[in-house]
Amino acid sequence: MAVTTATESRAYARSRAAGNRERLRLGVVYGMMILLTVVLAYPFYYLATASFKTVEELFRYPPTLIPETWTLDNFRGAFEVVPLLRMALNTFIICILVVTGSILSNSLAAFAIARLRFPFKNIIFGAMLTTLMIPGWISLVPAYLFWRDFGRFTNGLIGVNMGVNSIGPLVIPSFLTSAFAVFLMRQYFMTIPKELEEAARIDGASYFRIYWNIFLPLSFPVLAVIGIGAFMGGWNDVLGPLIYLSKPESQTIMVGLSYFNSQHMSVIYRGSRFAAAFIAAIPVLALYFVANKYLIRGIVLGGLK
Amino acid sequence: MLTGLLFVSPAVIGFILFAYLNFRGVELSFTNWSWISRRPPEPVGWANYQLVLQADSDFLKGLGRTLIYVLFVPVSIAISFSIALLANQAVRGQSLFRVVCYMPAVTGAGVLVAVWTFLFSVDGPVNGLLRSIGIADPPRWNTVTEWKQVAILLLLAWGAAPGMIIALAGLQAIPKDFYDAAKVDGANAWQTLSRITIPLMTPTLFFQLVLGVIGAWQTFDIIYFWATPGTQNADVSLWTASVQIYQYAFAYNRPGVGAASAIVLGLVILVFTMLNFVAQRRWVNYDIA
Repeated sequence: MAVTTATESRAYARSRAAGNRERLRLGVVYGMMILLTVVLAYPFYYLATASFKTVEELFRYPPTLIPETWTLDNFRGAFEVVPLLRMALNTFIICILVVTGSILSNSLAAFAIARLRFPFKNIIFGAMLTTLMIPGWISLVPAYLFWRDFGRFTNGLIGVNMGVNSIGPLVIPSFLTSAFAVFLMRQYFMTIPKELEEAARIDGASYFRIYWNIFLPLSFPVLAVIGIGAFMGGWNDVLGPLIYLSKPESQTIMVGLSYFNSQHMSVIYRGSRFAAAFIAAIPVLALYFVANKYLIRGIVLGGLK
Repeated sequence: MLTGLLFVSPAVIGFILFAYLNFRGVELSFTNWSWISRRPPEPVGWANYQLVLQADSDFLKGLGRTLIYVLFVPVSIAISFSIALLANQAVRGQSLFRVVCYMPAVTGAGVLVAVWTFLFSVDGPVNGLLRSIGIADPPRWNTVTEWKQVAILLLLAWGAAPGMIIALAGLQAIPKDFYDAAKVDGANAWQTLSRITIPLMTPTLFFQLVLGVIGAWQTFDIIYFWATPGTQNADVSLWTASVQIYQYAFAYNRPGVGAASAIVLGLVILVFTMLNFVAQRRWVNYDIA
């Protein structure tokens, strides 16, 4: 009787010690998670609130958490410096086309490489992968010259400049596949059971129909990753538009942001720079909050295989 | 048969264009062609390379500054790995934490630099914090080159958090059995980390290192916004190799020199990637698990 009580109380003491350790672990883990969340999210919070602060409040320390007086002056100032909404619209059009191009061209090529038999398949796939290894800087100037000539060519042919000073050089390459996206999609397509397409073949479906009616609907997660990635890449790109677009009213919003670095910007434009950066951040952040599930899963998929 | 070729034809066109443009890039690096010359490009042999590689050339200086960001890659990986360890703990709220961690990768460099340069301005919030903990004369982050560099590295450290997604995937791929066995053998947390987690994570860490180094050598966006050429913010002492290539190609009207610089950068990247693959034999484990 006495022995049992002793063992019980010892077991109780042990479980209480374990409970304390578990509580300590939880405390440390949560403490660090909260600290990191604050550090990582604060710049975004600061950006969002500072855009609505008066210049006087902007330079106050400690920074106010919520603007004392809400003002839209910064946004007005930003629109004075550059045609910001026009730039956002330009960027949006580019992004939509880039998303379309990369989803269509990459999935079509990945489907062919994963499922069809055709001559030089492995050579073509291998050649595509080599493009990942050579930095784009080597073709910087030749690419500009190519797109200049291409613009003259399309201008003579159909009367539309699709080269330098148009969105052509930013959009057309997305219709010519990217090796990384093809690779990612191929990995995904290989997991789709062969029985599905065999049944469709027996029913007389063409390969294009199999691709369009079976593979694309089944591949939503990976298409979402490629699409979101293409949108963010297009939205945040600065080198491409910097080189290929020249007039402010046809520029993208990222290059527009760099205009705020120019020497005419005085202190009163500090707030405008925030407002512009805030406008430039909203679309990608919104897309991210809606679709982060797919994006994060896709990065895991691409990062491990 | 032909269907397949038809489906990959955009990829084939893309590759031919890619190969052609790179070939032209090599060709250009041996000429003195300029944007305003009316004559066809003249071959100048290795002159562009000599200019690029002579001691104290702008490009080599840029390459040296870029090396700082390359050497910072292991620090970034250590940060993302530590955050992944935290995100791998079985507690509530992890999915929200992951969403926050990836945020720095979503917005472009222009947005981040706009916020960062203000947070680090002379009378900005960061210096306010430093003064409040007793540092009477905090750094002038936006005027002294060395402090600008530190602020950029702090931005990179902050921006390393999204890498935790890849590290986390690596962590979650480690079979539970290893940890169960360690528990049975009475291993403590440090032993489990150093003998199980880290060795089994080496393939993931290597993957991050290779891609990180390739990317770091091409650092452009952040520096472009921090030290924008042709503006009041322009600061030659921050320009990386790729900013110098851009400047040679477009601002200095020496496309041949730009092309030669780009090829040198490409070779540097190739050498570092090869070194990484050689060195991995010493520290990456592929055989277990």
